[in-house]
Amino acid sequence: MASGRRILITGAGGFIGGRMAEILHRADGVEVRAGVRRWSGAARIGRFPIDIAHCDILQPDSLAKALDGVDAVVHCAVGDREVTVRGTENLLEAAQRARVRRFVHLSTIDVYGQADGVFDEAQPLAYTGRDYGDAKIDAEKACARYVERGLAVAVLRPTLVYGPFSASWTIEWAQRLQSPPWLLAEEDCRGTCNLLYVDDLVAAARLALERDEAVGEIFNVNGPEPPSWNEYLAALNAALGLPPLRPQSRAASHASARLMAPVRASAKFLLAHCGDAIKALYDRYPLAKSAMRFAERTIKKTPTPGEFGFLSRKASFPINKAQSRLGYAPKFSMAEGIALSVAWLRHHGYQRDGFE
Amino acid sequence: MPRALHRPPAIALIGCGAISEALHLPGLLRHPEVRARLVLVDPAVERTAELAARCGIAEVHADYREVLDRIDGAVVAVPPHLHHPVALDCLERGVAVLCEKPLCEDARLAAELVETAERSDVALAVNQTRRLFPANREIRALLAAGALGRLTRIRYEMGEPFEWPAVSDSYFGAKGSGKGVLLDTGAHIVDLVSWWLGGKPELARYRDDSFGGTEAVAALELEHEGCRASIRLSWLSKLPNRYRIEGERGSIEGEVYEWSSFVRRSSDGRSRRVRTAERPRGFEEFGHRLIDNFVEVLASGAEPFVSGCDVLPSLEIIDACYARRERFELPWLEAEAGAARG
Repeated sequence: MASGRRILITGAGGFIGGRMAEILHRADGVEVRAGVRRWSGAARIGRFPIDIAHCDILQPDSLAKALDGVDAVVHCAVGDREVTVRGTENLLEAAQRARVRRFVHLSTIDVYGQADGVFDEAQPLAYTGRDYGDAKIDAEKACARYVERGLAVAVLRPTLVYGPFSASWTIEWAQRLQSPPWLLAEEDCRGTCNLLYVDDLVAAARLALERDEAVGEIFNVNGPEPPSWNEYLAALNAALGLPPLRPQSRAASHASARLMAPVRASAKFLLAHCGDAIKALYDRYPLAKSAMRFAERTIKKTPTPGEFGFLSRKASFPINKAQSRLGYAPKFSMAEGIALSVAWLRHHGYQRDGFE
Repeated sequence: MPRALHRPPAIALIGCGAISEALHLPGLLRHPEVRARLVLVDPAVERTAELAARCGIAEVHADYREVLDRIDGAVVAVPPHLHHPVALDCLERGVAVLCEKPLCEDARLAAELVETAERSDVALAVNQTRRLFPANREIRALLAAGALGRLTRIRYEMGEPFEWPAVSDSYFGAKGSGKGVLLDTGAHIVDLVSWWLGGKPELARYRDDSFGGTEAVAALELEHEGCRASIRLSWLSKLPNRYRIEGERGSIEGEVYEWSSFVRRSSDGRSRRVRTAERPRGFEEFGHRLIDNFVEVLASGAEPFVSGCDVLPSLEIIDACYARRERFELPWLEAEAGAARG
């Protein structure tokens, strides 16, 4: 399916969509059309001679144009509930009208909820009241409706996708590790860290584009060797060349999270409601700038109360179905993925090198 | 010296996008005599007419050629790949130009503009905002006076995720100039570092991350009289955004957006923060100064802050970079792409 075809990638200005565009562009016989909501999001994919198209999934007019001449779609765009649900519905409808022959939808393991356990694709979906997972459940339901209408949709449920440009699992953790003191306790980080290197997810998407067995099906996509959070953070810390972590006591860690909660909430409120005034203070008064930078660093490195449950969650997401039906085999070990991520962090100035 | 009008000039603002609204237009509106005859030009006539109505400007045109015989000066703020044809038309018709940076996409085109301006006896000015920062000017004066002794090393890093509210894809890929962060941000920084060095440096090495499109990260190594200058630019991540200048008798360092202070260290390790006498309160003040200067250039024949001639050396360096570009080693980009082809 992928060979000799034009493939629209939505969300190509983002972390996963950007990598999807880079790899598919460089694969033989594929013509990529990179869909971006804002032109300013095109700096990364603009490095390649890729066809870049305006593609706002909340604007059906832009979709008809972006889908013109397209054979397949990889849907990576994500946003708030409106974008994730109504935007996906718009895209599915436009794809069906454009007679697209394959539609790969990127969902998430968050559709299973937040409980411990083993979650294969047969497990029920669980609304949790969290925007991201709940919206993704509804987007998957929209996909199911279009499967019934004859659109060849495949759904992938990736785990924690990390690697270059991953804000959540690469950049933020690297920044926290480089901002001592370390404020997490060893006992709180014994949960499973279901790491998936971004290139393995792209490989799974390519299989979902190519294999007929993918149509109408849902697949977990996970990495080869889920470590614990302690193992991941220690390995990332070592790869960054930092001294060994000195974990906090559990009591101190939880106390710091509780103490910082009102500060975090106040900062969020102020940024949302007085952003311009804060920026003016930052620009004009060196003392205000220093204080804000200190507050930002402190907020970023302090755990949130909700984080403890997440980091201690023992959950696994078997990939037997993707292995047997698609031939999916994740290639990037945690060590390889971290090595590539750290090389990327260094190149982009996220690893402090003393010039500061 | 450019000729003087000895009367309030008629000016057209050609290109009314984000930079014009933020910088040039507020500067022009401060001059009532200029405002009375100001013309806005942009192909997006409807949006521009709304802007004109908000600012009390009577005249709006879609095509700058309609007004060339009625104006004395033009502020050219169209997309960079159009700077050359628009500025050339203006200069050939005897209209002085204040052009946004980069003056042109390469030094040959820029030299043509400089020659045309000389032939027409009109001014060609360029917006190189960083040369207006009081801190940068004071550093230039200190270096020229030999305050650090012989210079040995300069490092300058500037990067932010690209957030410019571009309204078209002309910035990226082959649809615009095909040139990225080096021409965009580098037009400021290569010019500034060359100005600090007091002469045109030689290019030692240039690397970027283009795979046939517009580069988003670029690194230059320059040499000038025994001083090595390293510049790193990025559209993809926030860099430390600092500079450091080292000499035999001390160093100077600062933050790239800190326009009225820097830190000076003597060779025995003592340091002090230097605050400039001038302390602009916001970025818009540089727009005011730039336009004030351009109005003076037109009305009384003053010299522009930065002329077209001044930026030719930095554009020549940028040309040399593109001619000798190497690609960074980027193993994370190769890992799976290699497998995909294999």
